[in-house]
Amino acid sequence: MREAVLGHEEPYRQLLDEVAIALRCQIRNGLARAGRGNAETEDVVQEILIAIHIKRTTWDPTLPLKPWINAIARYKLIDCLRRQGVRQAVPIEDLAETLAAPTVESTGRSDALRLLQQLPERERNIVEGVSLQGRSIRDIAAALSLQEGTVRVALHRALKKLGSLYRQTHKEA
Amino acid sequence: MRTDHLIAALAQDARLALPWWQRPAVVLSAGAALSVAAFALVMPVRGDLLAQHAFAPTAYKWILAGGLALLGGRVALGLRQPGAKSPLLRVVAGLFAGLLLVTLAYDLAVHGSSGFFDRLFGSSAMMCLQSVGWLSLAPLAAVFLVLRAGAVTSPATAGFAAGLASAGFAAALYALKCTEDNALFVVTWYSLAAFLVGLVAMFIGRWFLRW
Repeated sequence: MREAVLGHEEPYRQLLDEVAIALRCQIRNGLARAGRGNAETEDVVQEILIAIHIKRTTWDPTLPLKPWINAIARYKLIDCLRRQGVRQAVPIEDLAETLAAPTVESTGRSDALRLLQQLPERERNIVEGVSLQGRSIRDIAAALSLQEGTVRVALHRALKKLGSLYRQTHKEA
Repeated sequence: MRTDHLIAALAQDARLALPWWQRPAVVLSAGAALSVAAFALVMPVRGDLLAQHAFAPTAYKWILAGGLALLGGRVALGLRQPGAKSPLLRVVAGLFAGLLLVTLAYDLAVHGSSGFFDRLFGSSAMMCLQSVGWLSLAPLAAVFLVLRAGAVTSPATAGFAAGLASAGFAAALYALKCTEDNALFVVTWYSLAAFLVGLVAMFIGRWFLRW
């Protein structure tokens, strides 16, 4: 994260990968404790990752990283549960379903793709470019004949918007 | 979208650049400056500010108000960081509350209960509440902007602390005008003003500081 704060791409990606794995367990447990299935796990994980990304300047590099991430994860999980209303009693059938549920692939509940559709076209293209197609910013800038900086700013905005779209969608759910 | 795709997108956005006008120090200074300007335009500084009989009470008001501003500000800004703890603050907050109580006790010991209500209400209690309220608006807005850029995980507490901080700042300004010099008045109305601003800020914080 120290490197990531300085803007180094590769260490940052590795860090996010590790964090995502840890979060997945944590969130699955958290949802189970609240009487939920694990269908939403990946959505919550993605929302937390975006939050970590957008708020990464609030981590003080002189402090350990883990409490910071945990605090964000807890905040976001509680936020998600509250938005959808915590189920009080859990019928046994629900539990059976949870137990029998197939192991989660790392795919969000398809929400994320729909969310992408809500971004303005240029931002959507950029996000799809760097994520689905795994292209670099320089590539995309060249393809869209834009400045690299412009693409960076657009990407940053798009990710921020994506973060707030996550919140809104779950509110309706 | 798959999570690894999302991570790829996030990693590409690793670079950071905060424009200068979004830096906390700049935002906070702007809020403070606005408040000072409003004070300078609307309110006259008390004429006897430098006279001997006015100096001690004003200094005391500054200690109270400044202490509140620093304490509240420290708590509010500290809450920008998820997971950070500072246990020392409770002690400081306790000491501060103790100072208020000691002041009240001192007032009662010196003056007894004679003229209690005269001293309590003075002649400008409402003026004090209103002025502190108005003067705290700009600093409050600034603190809220800074908090929103952070990651506040307890919005209500952060809002309350932000309210106390900006009310403290406003009270320090108002102290330059206020001619009520008895301790009972100062402790009662300055604190009440700060508490009210804090309360309003708490409710604002509950929705404005969520993310």
